[in-house]
Amino acid sequence: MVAKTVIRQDVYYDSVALMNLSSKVSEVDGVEEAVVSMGTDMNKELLENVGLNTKESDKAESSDLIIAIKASSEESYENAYKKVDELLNAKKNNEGLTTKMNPKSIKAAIEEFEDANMVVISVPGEFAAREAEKALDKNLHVLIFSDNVSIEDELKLKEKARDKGLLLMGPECGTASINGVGLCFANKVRKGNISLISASGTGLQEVMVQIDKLGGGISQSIGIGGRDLKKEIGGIMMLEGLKVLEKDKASEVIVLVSKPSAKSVEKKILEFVKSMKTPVVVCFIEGSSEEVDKVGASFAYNLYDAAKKAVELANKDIKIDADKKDNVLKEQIKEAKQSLNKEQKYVRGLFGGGTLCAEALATLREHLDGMKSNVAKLEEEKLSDTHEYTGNVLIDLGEDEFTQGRPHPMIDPTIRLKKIEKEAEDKTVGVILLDFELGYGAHENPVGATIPAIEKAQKIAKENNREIIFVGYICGTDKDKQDLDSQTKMLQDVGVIIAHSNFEAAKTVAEILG
Amino acid sequence: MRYKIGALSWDKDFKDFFESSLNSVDIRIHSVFNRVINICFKDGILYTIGNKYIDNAPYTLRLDFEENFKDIINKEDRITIRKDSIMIGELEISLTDLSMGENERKMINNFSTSNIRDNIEIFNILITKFDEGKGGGCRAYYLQNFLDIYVKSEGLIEREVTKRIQCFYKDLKENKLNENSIKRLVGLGVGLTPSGDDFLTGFLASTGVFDCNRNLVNKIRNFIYPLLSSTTDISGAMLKAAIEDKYREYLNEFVYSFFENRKEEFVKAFKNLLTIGSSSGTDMSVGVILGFIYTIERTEEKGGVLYGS
Repeated sequence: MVAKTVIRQDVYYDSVALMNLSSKVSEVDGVEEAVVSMGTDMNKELLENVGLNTKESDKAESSDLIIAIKASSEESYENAYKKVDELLNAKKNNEGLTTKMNPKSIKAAIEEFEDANMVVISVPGEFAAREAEKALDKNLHVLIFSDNVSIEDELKLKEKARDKGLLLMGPECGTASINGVGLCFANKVRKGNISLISASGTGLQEVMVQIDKLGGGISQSIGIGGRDLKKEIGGIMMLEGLKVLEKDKASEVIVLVSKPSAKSVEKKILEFVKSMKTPVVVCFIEGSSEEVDKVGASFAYNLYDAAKKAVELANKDIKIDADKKDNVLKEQIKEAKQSLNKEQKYVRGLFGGGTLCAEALATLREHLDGMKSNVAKLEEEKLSDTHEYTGNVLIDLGEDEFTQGRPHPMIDPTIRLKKIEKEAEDKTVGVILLDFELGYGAHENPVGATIPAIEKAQKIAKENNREIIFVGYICGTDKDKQDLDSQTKMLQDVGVIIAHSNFEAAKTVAEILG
Repeated sequence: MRYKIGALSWDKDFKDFFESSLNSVDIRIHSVFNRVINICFKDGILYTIGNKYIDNAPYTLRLDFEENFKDIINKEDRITIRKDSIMIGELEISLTDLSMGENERKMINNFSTSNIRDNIEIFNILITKFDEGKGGGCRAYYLQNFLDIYVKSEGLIEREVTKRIQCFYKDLKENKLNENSIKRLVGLGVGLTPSGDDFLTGFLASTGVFDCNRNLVNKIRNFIYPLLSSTTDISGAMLKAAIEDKYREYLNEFVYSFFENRKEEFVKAFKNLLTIGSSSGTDMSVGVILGFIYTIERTEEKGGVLYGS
């Protein structure tokens, strides 16, 4: 038996990191006990009690880190110590992530990571298809984050992937979470028994976030790109994804999300859903319940509803009272209504999330007249000019015209800031609706970056003897790195009305202006 | 690159330290974290400078600053106190126009045990839900002993924390609390603020608001005082503040939320508390809850009437 301690002076790690470390080192073959802790008197006494102390550990100060390992052989001890070193250094480098590699080609990446079975491609659109094809040839699953891939190339790649039994997510796949690893924009969520497949980026994020908030958990989230359910592609990857999830035992409930799609493709997808044994919740934004009901799936009226139904199906013990009224919100709506003058009749929604914009449009058109948007599918709702307009308008600032040559607004919200101020100058505007996305890939502090613009807008309105109402929704979980609570507090501090879901945000606007 | 930033708030102790340290050369950086810089004065007392994402706390200055300190401050950087500012390495902190972030502690003489009980019920749901395994042994103790939920055994030290809290609470209930019941907890736990210390801080924060617990609280404080140097510097500073009845804003808010019948506020306060440290908030919350359970049980034993200060 070998029992040794190593002391590292004046180093600090948080307790969860140290507990995880102790637990991982204990799993090394031949290790009987491993303790990594600060050198306080009581911790040292405990080491002594279990025979893990040494002269070195007895001398340790409370600001020193003690690494104590008891192993069956010298070799096991060395392996365990190597593991500690590796984990502490990884933690030091970047919150537990190992050293970043920077391969310059698919070939180099595969050589670097022999066990990899998936490639994420984020190169200019004109090169993305070529790189994706190389990856498929190497029998790797592919996620294409890039946009500007032609629909012909998309079809060709998806057919090839299908024939090889691989997944091709994208192009323009903004979100996925595979085996708990968030890809592109993805929120950190609880693990669980619900899987999602979606032809909509922020739609997928919103359902994941709401599932987490409602107490459910996620197994897999597959993004397939916004065009997969178009007639030209025919839902190839939606069908392949559903087949994969149907076979996955951890996926006890499946949620299917899509932006408005081709009816013929919808029909094909629903026919497959009919044959599935796993319960499926279908959320076709702007879809109707009739066809979904016929195939025995649950129809969700909006993204929140999809999350709610999935959680209820996956956890029989959870009953969610969706009609429960938030008194604070009710009061805020009442006050907001009273503060607007007669001229302030319109909403301006400035979105980073395209599907969130589409959902808000679908919600608001039932309550407000003349809705216009750059994501609208109905001719009469299409916004012809995204710079000069009047009336009720919702704009997706993630659309190509705003992102060419600059980052997506979820990464860099600058583009929205000027718009916010501009809307405040319009005396007919009563409410500005904003979304904020948290999670991997998103801006480090999306709310903080927007607060000065909100305050400026409020000042502009005030100087013109008006109040302007801000309604906001933060699509994020309490596990996301941006800290949901502090993001929320910042909005509350400047008087923004905060909704709990994107759907609720749109309903709130409707109640204020309706 | 020099960063010029403003401050949001400070507490009286930090203000006194600043005003008495003009041009002092006896101040050094103790430790640097993402959201916090700890600085150390010649008297050994630790003071904290936090970015805007931390709450008001004893001996603390909060800055209007969003970035991570680790990216710009080195432990070796020099600290200079000027008339209206503090210079730390490349950071120039202006100390004009900032507010007092005092956390007022009011004593409770009259209270409804039903509100507290209702909130304990909510706590019981919340503590079972969040991240599996988080907590330095205190959570496992609470789940096993109050909710009959067995939690997978954690490491050696965490198991010991669980056991020793069990002994502490047994001693307390049997009116046998002694120096050893406390000594066994101070400094026990793996991290920067060991779980035993977090637990005791939470326990003092909740029991300390009841006038009827005055004797008990003073007894525990007297036991802790000589042990302050047995734990880490940072934890010693936290316990010292607790002895002085000074607690962080989020801990205070959590304690006082038990007296209200407002579920949302309670949940919010709990979530805020969890943002303290990595497992500290969880460990503190268990200390708080045990303080409440102990107090209301004693009160109800006496027929619901407040007694003995």
